[in-house]
Amino acid sequence: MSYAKRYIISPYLFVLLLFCLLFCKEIQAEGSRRVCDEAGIFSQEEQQQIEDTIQKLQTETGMDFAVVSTNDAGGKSTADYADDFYEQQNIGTGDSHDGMLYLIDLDHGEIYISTEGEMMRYLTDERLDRVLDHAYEDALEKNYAQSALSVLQDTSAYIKEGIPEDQYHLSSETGQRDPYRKKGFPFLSMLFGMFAGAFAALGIFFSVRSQYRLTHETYHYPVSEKGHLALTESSDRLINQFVTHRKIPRNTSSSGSGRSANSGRTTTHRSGSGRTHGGGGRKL
Amino acid sequence: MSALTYKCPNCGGSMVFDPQSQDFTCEYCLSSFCREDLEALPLDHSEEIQPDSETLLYTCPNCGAQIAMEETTAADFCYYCHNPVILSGKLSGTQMPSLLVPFQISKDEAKERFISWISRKRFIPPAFFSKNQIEKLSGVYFPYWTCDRTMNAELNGTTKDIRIWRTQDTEYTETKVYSIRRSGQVELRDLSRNALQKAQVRMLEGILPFDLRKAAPFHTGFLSGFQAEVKDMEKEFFEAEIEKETETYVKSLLTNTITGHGTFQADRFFMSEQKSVWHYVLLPVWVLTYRQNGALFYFAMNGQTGEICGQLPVDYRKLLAVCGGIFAAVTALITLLGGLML
Repeated sequence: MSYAKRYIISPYLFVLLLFCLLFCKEIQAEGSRRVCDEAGIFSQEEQQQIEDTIQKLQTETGMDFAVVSTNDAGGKSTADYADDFYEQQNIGTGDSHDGMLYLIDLDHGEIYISTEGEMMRYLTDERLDRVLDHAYEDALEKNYAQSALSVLQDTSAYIKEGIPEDQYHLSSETGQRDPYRKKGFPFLSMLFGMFAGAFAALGIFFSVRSQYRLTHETYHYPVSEKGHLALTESSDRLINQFVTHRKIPRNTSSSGSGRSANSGRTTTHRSGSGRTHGGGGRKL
Repeated sequence: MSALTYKCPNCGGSMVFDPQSQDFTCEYCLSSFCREDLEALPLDHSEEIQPDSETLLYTCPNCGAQIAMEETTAADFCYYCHNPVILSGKLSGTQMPSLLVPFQISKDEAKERFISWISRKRFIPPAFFSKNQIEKLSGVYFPYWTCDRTMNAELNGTTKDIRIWRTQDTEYTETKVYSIRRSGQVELRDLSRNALQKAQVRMLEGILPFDLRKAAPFHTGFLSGFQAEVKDMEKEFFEAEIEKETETYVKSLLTNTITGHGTFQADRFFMSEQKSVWHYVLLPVWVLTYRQNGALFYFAMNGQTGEICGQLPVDYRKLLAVCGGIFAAVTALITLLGGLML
């Protein structure tokens, strides 16, 4: 009986999931809707409020945000569900799919944040912990909308703060480090390049002009060829010798900021499709 | 003062010096004579007619026409019959050169070299040089002063040799001070100066040096078929300049022997002249004056080595385009490298 039930229910679930996916796709197709409340935990007003916040953040940051709730993870772990949802719904902007997804998984009783692309640089493990700490309290009290809003606001605050200078990706599978390199236009290099370029160009200009106009001395006497020296005396006499010494100052590189050595770390993992995500969660 | 022409004993035509064979050739019957033969020949003279302050008039020994020559010109051609004329009187006494380097590059070779030199210049206007103009190329013996000097010199000073090493957290610096002394005899050959006021000095000094070991004792025969100028600047005019130059070269030769030490600091330098021999020499130069859009450009080629020096017009559009390209390329490259390294 239980088998029959399972076989009957499964197609329903499948259709429901499909409908949900289609619905979500429709949301995405509309261009801006990024809330998918499969678990039905948000009121209409709450959904709208979250949606508005997301829209605002999208415009401000150029990255994507989504809030998803589910009460059936379809047998997947919370992390896998979040990553797959992120990928299947084409969340993220640009080629690197910059963005984040906040999942409230009532199936496993867990909240989870999945990040990808540039967002992984902003939300380091340490920051992610703080965001989750903050959201956890509200989620525990079933104040899910508030927890989602807190995640969005905290994330936005960290984006404004910028990527920590010591940020690096640490792959949980390979242990490979990928330090952050500041992207952005190298104005200083360009300025230096312009100076060097101007120096080279002016050098060539004046050199050619002077050669063509014969404005410089044209003849240098070849001393080594036409001069001859017969030395009658050659002496190198040591008249003084002394040694001085100094202590080399120790390189004390410990920073006074009180930040832990791993503060810039973002632990990354690969999703089933092979894309790289960052993220972390909390059991409720 | 008389004008002379070397006549061919076979046909009576005028003979010129041939740089390729280094002999004397008749332009008409192509007979060839060596220098000894030439000296045995009777010269064809004519007398000066009327002296002038700036120019002097002579009668061409060949056609009898009157030829005007500037005061410093000692050999040229008759304007009418193109006969080579040498004013031997201008090359006697104190104006008699002690040495002469005969032309070794013929007119045809000089033309080829000029054309290939011009074609290697990238920043001249495209229509600048026409091959017809090169026909005006003329071979001129220019007067130079050259000086061979022997000097006794002494140079004293110190060097500081610094060695740095580290052991754990201490850096040691060892300084060794050496007293350096060098003395010896310095010989400088062929310190040269152009000795004609009206000449384009930069151009004529730009084609130096000549190999004076290949110079021959002066003989008027070498001038036949070429133009020649005589000096109007005496060696005293250059003595101070040559003295200063000598000091620079002597110092540099002595300093170059200080090796294996740190930076040398000179304390005392002393130099005294042992011997100075000045030579008044005539040196072979192919000269071309080129007029374009009212502007004159001068070219000179060393008639012995082929070294070229000259003024050229600049195609500023082309030059600015290349410089702009270099500016853009360097800027882009450094920006890109900077971007990758950040």
